[in-house]
Amino acid sequence: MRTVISLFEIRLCLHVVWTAVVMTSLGCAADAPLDYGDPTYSVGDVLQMTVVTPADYADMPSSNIEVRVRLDNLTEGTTKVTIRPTGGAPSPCEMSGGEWVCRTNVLHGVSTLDLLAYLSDGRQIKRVHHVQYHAEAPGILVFSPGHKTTVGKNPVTVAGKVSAPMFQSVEQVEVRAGEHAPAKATLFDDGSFTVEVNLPSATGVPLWIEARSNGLLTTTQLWVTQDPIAPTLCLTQPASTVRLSESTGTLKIAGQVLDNTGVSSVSVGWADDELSNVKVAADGTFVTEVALGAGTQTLLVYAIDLGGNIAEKTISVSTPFETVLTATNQDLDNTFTLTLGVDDLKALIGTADQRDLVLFMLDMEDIVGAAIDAMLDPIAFGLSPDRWDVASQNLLGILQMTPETVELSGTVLAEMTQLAKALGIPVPSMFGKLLNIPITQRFLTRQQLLAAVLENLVKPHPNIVLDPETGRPTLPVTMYDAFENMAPLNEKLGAVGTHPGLVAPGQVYSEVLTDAFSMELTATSNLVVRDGIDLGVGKSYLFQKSARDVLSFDFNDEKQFKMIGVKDYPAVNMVFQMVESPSFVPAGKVQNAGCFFENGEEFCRGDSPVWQLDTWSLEYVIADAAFGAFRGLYNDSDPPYVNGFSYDIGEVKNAAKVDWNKGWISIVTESNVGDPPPPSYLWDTLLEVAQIRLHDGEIPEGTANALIPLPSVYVPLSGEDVAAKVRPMLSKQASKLSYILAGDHSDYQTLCDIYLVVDPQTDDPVLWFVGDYDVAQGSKKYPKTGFFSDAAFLNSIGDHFTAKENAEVFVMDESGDSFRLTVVAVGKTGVTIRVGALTDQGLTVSGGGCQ
Amino acid sequence: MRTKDLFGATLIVGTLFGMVACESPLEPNLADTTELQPGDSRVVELVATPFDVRNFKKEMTREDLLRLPVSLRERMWLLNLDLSGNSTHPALFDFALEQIRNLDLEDPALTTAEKNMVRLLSLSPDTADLSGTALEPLLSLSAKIGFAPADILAASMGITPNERFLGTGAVKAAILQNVVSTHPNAQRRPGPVTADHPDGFWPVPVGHMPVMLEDALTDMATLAERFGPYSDGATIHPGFLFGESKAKLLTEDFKMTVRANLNALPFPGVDLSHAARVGVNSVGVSADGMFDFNSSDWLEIDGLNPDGPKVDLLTFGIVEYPDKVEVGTTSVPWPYGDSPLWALPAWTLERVVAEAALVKWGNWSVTQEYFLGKAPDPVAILAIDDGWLQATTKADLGNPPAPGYLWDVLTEVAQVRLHDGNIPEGNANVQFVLKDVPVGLTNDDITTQIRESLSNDPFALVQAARFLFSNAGGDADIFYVRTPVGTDESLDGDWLYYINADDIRLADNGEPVRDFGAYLVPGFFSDAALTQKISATSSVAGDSTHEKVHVHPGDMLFLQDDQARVFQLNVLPKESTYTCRLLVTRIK
Repeated sequence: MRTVISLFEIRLCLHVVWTAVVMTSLGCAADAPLDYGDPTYSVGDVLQMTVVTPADYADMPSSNIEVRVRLDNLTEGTTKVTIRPTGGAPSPCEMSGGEWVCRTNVLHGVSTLDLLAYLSDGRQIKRVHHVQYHAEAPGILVFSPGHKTTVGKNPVTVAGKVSAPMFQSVEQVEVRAGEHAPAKATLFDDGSFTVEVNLPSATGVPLWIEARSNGLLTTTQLWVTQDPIAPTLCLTQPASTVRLSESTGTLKIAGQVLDNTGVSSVSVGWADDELSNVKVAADGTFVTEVALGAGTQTLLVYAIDLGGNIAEKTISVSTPFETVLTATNQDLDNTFTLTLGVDDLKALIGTADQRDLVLFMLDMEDIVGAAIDAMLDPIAFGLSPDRWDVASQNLLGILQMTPETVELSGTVLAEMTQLAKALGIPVPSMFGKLLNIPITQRFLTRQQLLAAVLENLVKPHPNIVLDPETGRPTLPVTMYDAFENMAPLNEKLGAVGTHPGLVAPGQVYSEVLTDAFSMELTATSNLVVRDGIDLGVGKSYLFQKSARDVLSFDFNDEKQFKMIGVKDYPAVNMVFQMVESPSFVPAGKVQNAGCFFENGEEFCRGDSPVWQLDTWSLEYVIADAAFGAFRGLYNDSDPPYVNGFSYDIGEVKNAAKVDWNKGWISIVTESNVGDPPPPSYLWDTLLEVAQIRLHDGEIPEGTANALIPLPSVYVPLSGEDVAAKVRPMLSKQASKLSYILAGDHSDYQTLCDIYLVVDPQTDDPVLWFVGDYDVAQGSKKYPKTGFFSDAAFLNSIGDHFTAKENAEVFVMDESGDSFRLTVVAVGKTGVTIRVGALTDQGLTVSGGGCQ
Repeated sequence: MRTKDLFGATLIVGTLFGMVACESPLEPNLADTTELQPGDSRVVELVATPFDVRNFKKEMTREDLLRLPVSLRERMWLLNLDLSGNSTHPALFDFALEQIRNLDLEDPALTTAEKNMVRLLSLSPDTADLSGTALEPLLSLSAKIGFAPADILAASMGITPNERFLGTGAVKAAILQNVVSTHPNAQRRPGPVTADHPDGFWPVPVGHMPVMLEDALTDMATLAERFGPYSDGATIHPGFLFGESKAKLLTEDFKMTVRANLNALPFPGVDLSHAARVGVNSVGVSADGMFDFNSSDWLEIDGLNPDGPKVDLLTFGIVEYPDKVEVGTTSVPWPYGDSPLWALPAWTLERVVAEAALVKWGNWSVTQEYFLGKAPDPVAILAIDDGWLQATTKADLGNPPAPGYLWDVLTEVAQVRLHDGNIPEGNANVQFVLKDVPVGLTNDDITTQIRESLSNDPFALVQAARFLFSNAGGDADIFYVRTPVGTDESLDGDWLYYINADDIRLADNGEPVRDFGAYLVPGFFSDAALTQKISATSSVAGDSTHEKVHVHPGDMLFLQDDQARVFQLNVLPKESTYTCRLLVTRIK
């Protein structure tokens, strides 16, 4: 599993969302806060604050007012005094001549002023005072920013409200930051205004707010500082990970926050609850406590500076917890069915695995036979040989050659033509008689040709697999081949190593699968999930394998495996290829060469160099086809495989004598009757004829490769045939498929330390410590494995024990942290376990603090 | 009008200032007590006797407070009880939720729906049963291929398998926002009438419950009535407190001790009908200055429950929407999408669950990728962007659910689980009886808050003081005020005030003995036809509520009483600085 967390500001977010919810529900925008009339500040226990001037409800001549305050009889020091008109921003007062001088602005009418004195002991004294303003010049009330405050961002939004005497209105509000040109504020009907202004510098920037009404101007000035730097938050208690042996009581949080401009607040709280503000001392130190709960919780500490910049600490606090471990439900249906189309399979099974997953073995005899049929009778198969290249057309002529059509010119047999003339016997008749075939019959039958091609061209191809039962050449068709419309066969049946290939590159194509193709597959999961515990955290889970493979399949069960949408008799587009040898191959001259015995009979191929060629060469295939076709001729003669006949010319008896001996043809003439060709084997003779004819059209030697385009070779397989072939093939590859889909569990990882298994014999709940057979690395990562009866980890009780109520054992996790396990309850379906750390950890930070 | 109970309520004056009372010029005019008839005239001499007492200490016992009119007790705002605490200071709802979560599911008193709710509140990835929800197929498959559903859920939601989906903070916030703070009686409380609050109602912060004196005096028995079902025209709320409520905040010895600044003697007034001298209550004529809120001892509270504030008994309930609510199908607009959920009343259980989830996951974003076997690409991706969950799996494994907000998902889970046990839709309303729930405040906290509340809104306290300390005698129509020396010179001198509603004596039941509305033409006029008003409510000596006129010897005024009698007043020559002699003539 890979996790990408893009945002984990959940605590802040809670506030954001909550605020949004509240505001939405109240149907208000960002108005000034509601006045609930609530007590906000605690009041000092003695009357200590006196407003020197002006008098309560005094009528002020200007919107810019000054209030002087005296604090008497203080036993504590005063950290600051602020003044805040209702709804406005507070402004700090300045000490002058023993009095606090407070300046702010007010609107027309009576304004309530909250005067707050912050005592060094944390208490606050509040006094409410009133002033009135009725003059002609505009009144101003600034909502934000406050005077002498720090803002976190630039530009800063200036917001407030202006007022004018009755029946008049404020015409314009402008805000000027430092030497910048004034920015005109957006002014609303109720007198409120807002404007964004850029601060020219970070520190001590004066902001002038100017309001104009009826030719009169009121100006108020604020000083703001910008602070883009977050505070430094350092904790002395606790560490970032805390583990406690008790879940009651409180946890102390202490630390220090430092900031270049000042700290606004420090808040502490659990991640799922509201944070509470913590009192921060003058030196930035703070201390508070939170109530503990059971289990692992996240504690958040936020420090916010005056500019609103935030620093945070996240603390994981774990206390003893109880968790229920439930026995694995044996009755759960552990199967699942997937219905997968091509895209689904592609998504689930990577290309490499698609290439590796064989769907069925394609019998090459089927497809080569179909190709030869098409070659032998192209017109019948809708082919246009006239469009083929010359070499291919020549080959076609060779394959279709009969004694009647044989063309001997240019060959050593050309003399035979003269002989035949002299004898008055047609050459076709001579060939037909010699080969014991009708003169219109092709020298090589389909089967003879097919056998030679299969044997010499197909079977030697490295990608061809011989069926172990039939020995027939087959080609593994993978899922990838099927998905790619057999295009990968270009590669598979193309040149491999020294084999030139059966097909020309780039032409194989066959849509084997229809758009409706789908595979419905039911898998049985062999994973058993165990309820367990990650000792330091809580509930965890362990998956164990109950069989060798993660998933099991039964492809032979029609309910568990269905495949539809395979095309019946798919047509294959291909260019069949036969490559000739680079040079002319002469006929052999020696009869007793290349001999072998078959069924006690000796046969010889002769000494033609053709037999030294690669079998897949065109010459070899033709020679071998002829050898295969004719070597057994006259097997029933006496002696077998031998025949002879002679021709008389008039009175000249035996003017020409022809002998056949296991394919060795020798012609002897008398009385200068012609010039007989030298003796040779028939296959050498036919090969020579073929070689000469193959180059008709002045094709240079070595380039007469045949490339016969076969656009629609129909594979004689129905969709059901294919499905039937797929079942056993996938059955053989079930483990591989399981591995592809779900892995083999060998690298399984879990945080689980212990887990529950209910003994199937006794129904006893048994707690197990994870072992090597459960997870990668297994127990090696643990300093102490198994359960112990003592907290000192001296007495091991093994890697499992039967859980009894109130049983107490001790375990150690991979980090070496020690835990006490108590069996709280044992039920019919599981046990309740209490897990607690043996000792408190992480209560303090070593060397913590900001110093 | 003639009074029958002259100075009956001037007990404090009589006891504390007996010496003064003996020599008081405010003796009843016993010489002639007959009613003036049209044309009759009689001289009345009024003597101004201001007797300002500072820090006058007065105890208001529980018995005293119970004597106050109910309307006044219901008006007296003690505090807004903050129901929502935080990590360092848990409050009532923190404790209440924890108690609900820990309810014994074997308790036969709990209904099936309530048990379902308890389970729902404690639902965690480990205990989540997602059967019947859109997530079921995906999670069911995950367990079979090596991914624990609880781990998936937990990681997706940024929690641990044991951790509750809906933590205390989120649930509390949602309940307070949606159920509590939508109740009209939790949204506002009575308070002073001001320009900003012309109806006399003030808002109550979200998550707070206003506590009035009546609540405290009745041991909170009033809570269920106030926060139970509410119906007022189009405003309907099913309520959230039901049945009996009890919280003994106050002991029998409870008392509030105030230190008040007041004029201990009544203002000298005239019952015009009889041209008789009577007294007008001088206590609380103006709330300003009566109490010095900056003083530490202006109000002392004793007799709070020594065991500390806690709720002894409370029945809290939430109702569900009658129909199943479908989840949304689009993320726009965030965070609501097009789910009809958000059109439901806020106080429905469905909304509460959704809002709690929204509070928790509103800005939660995470992407979880799950790999199977040796595939380089994840077989499943769970992507959450600001709460919007999109699950994609290769080949649609596990029928991944349609995209949706996490809060919709949780609401769907909640709706299914709440009806476990074949509870019909709309019948999964829950009510939990809670006992001994701390409120998270100390007695000192309570005392401080009451002091602050009453200082911010002293109206009811002033009224209570007026009721309890009244020094009124008789039923005046006008009274005489001599402004103190040293104020604005132009205002210095004798003033005649026309009474207002607050000057009318209160009966024992707290109701005014007369209807001020009977005064059809309050004020002073320069003509007998009462067309030229010469009085105003302008501010004099801190008072801006009474019609008043600055008088000098020789002035002639006209006015009408509550029986539509018209009188002429002639200001006679003064015999001393603090006397005002009037010739009262009934002319109609």
